[in-house]
Amino acid sequence: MEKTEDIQEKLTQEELTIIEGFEEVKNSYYRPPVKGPMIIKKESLESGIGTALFDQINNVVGINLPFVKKLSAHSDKQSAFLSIARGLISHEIGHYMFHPAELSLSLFLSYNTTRLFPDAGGAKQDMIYQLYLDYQDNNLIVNNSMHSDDLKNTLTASFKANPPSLLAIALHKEYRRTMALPEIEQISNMKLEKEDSRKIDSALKGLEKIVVADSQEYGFHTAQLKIFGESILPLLESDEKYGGNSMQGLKNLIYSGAIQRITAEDIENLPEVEKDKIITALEKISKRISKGDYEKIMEYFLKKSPESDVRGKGIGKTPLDNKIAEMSVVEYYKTLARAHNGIVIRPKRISALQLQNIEFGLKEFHPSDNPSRIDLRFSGGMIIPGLTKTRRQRKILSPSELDVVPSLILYKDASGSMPDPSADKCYATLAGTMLVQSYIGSGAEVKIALFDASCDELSQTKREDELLRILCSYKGGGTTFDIEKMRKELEETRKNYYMDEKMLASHPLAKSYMKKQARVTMRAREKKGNLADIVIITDGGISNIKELTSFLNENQNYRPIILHTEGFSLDIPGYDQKTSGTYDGISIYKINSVDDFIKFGKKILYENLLQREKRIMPSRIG
Amino acid sequence: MTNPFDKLKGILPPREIKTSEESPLERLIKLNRELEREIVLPDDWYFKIHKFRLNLYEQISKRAGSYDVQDISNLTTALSFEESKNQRTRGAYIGGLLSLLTEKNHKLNKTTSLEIDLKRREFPYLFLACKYVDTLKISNIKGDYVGSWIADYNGKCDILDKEGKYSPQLKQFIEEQRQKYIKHNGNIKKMNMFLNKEIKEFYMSIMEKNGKN
Repeated sequence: MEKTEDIQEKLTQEELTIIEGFEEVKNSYYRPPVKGPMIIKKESLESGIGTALFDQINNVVGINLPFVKKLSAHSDKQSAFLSIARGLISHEIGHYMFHPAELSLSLFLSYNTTRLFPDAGGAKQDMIYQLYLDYQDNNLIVNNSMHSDDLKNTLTASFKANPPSLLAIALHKEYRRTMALPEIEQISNMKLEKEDSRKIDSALKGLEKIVVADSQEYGFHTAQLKIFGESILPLLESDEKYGGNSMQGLKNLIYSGAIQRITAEDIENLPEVEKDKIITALEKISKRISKGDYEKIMEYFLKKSPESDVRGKGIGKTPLDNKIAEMSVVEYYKTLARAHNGIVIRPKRISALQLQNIEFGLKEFHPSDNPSRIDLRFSGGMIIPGLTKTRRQRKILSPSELDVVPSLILYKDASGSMPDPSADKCYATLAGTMLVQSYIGSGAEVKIALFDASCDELSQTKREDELLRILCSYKGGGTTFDIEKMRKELEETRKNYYMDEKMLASHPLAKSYMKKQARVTMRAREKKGNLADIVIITDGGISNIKELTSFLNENQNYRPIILHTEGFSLDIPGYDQKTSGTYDGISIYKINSVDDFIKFGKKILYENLLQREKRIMPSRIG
Repeated sequence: MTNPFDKLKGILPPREIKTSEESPLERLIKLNRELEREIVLPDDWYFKIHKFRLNLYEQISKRAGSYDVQDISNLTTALSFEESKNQRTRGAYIGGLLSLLTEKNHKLNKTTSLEIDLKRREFPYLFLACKYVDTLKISNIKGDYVGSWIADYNGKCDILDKEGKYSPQLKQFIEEQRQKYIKHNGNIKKMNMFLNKEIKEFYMSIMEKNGKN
């Protein structure tokens, strides 16, 4: 108790007011896990430290004490200091609660600010980014009535405390429209040139189009950021002309310093633990954007160079050797599998010793025998040494040794009609990665082969990365069907007017020209008693499908599954090319959208890998 | 009757939360996600596009609500930043929004003009099979089948300009061929089939002239 009082004595009244305000605001937001307040006593012109800040990596709110004092001098309200502090804190906690809320969105917008406004330069890009985030945040706070009066008071004071610029005038007018800020004489009495008034009006028209929303839609907010930036950029350029209203002056405003644009240099200077948070946030982005865009973002923030060797896709005519994937491609698919929660590990069954009666196994009674095993039938219901017998039992180990972990045999179509995992985000490869990582992690044997016109030998290793390198490899350009022959024959019928290769591939007659073969080799035969999940990922068009089905049906321990994507047909009796089900002993999962790869990949893991299998033969110990 | 809890100082007054209506952009993004899941155009889409378009346009007219050209432009920008799981439906959906808006404006004797600059971002199948277009200008875009099948299947288009190196020549060529063909045969569907082949050959001849593959 005494200690607390000591600490309180050391704090000034103003600091205590800020702490009080912080607790009050935090309570209003139902106590989110935001730390603070970090009170900065040093006067500074630097954006953030000089005003107020929200550290998104550590979730800390910081308040600059001299800045609060400065703003409270421009406020007419009673207990202005507390009101300004509450307004600032509400604004900063709003960044956690409303916008941008997630670090991944901040990173995405930071990156896209540089992409959308490449000629604007770093300082202006910072301004656009910060002002957009603050614009959304301020409006959302007022819409949700979270200390909105305090925030309005703070915004008004900050407009009063700084010399008016074109940008400040435009923003003030916009805030007057959206949240009814009071009029400020200093701004309304300012005489502007015609050209400047026109610019402000034009900016206001743009700002009117901004939609205020606390959604986490990356594309939506990027489109809004684009409108916002395009609206205010001419004002920023004009402001450079006026000495008093330069960018440096603007930096010291509440509406431009709360949350900073994240750059590669910022990340480089972070400690490792905090870098991990950035990497996790970037992983989250990987789910929503293309492989190319993801690589660019990674290159921008973490300076990881993207893959350069990209092989052409489409329907090829000549067989090519496998292009072995680089480790960076493997890392990408591992990241995606993690981001989709696609790795499932089969729990190890705990081994336990059990006792089993031996049939007709009796031995001479001994006084130390377990009474439950004594058999009195031979001694007239009484214990008579020499006549009484004891049942014999044997110890068995159950169930871990007998628990069958199925092995995985994965055949992936890598013909020209499938996407190249190095060039595009290939969901078939993602599904394969999920399976390989889960089976390997569960201690199962995994074998992989790629096929197109020819089928590779199955590769088997316990090294996960090597298996994944094979999985992410690509044959690309391997023969799928005789395109020249088809074109020639179609031309002879004079029915086609023009068809490119992709169109020819989709033609109903295309399957007559197929050359793709999934040759399941004898090496894929599993030992008797071992379960094998044979998974084939293909877009159809396998010419030797009958041979394949008869091979798969010949052993009861095979559990064949085909993930069939759009493309060519799969000639299996009963399968209508549309409906998932079990046909001719093979489970066929029809992939209609890329999400289905993830869905069915998980289904295989839950139904096959996690399923507890019946033991085959008990083994003896001792 | 007074509230007995009024005496308690810590209780905050009720907050006045503004219920904001969903903006057209938010609504259109949501609809895109739903349609991408619901309507799938298979890989042999060349032969199924007519039926697909009928279904898609019906759904859009039922569910999209009101929007304008600016919303379509913003939507295109917004969607270009995120990866699509069903690119054909996404591209055709934006085309559908434009076509239905154009059709609606025609009834009010208005024309619809849309310009889109994607700053070298990728958007395959954008405006796929868009039925009615007045003026559409797409610039700085990457991706396969952008603007394919526009005004096909009894559609109508006044000016189509995929801005690029050869666009003025191409535009002139299309117009010449169109006029030439209409004189000989009034069948629009056949004309489009004819044009597809001719345009391809025309492009190839220009490419060869400029020494490109």
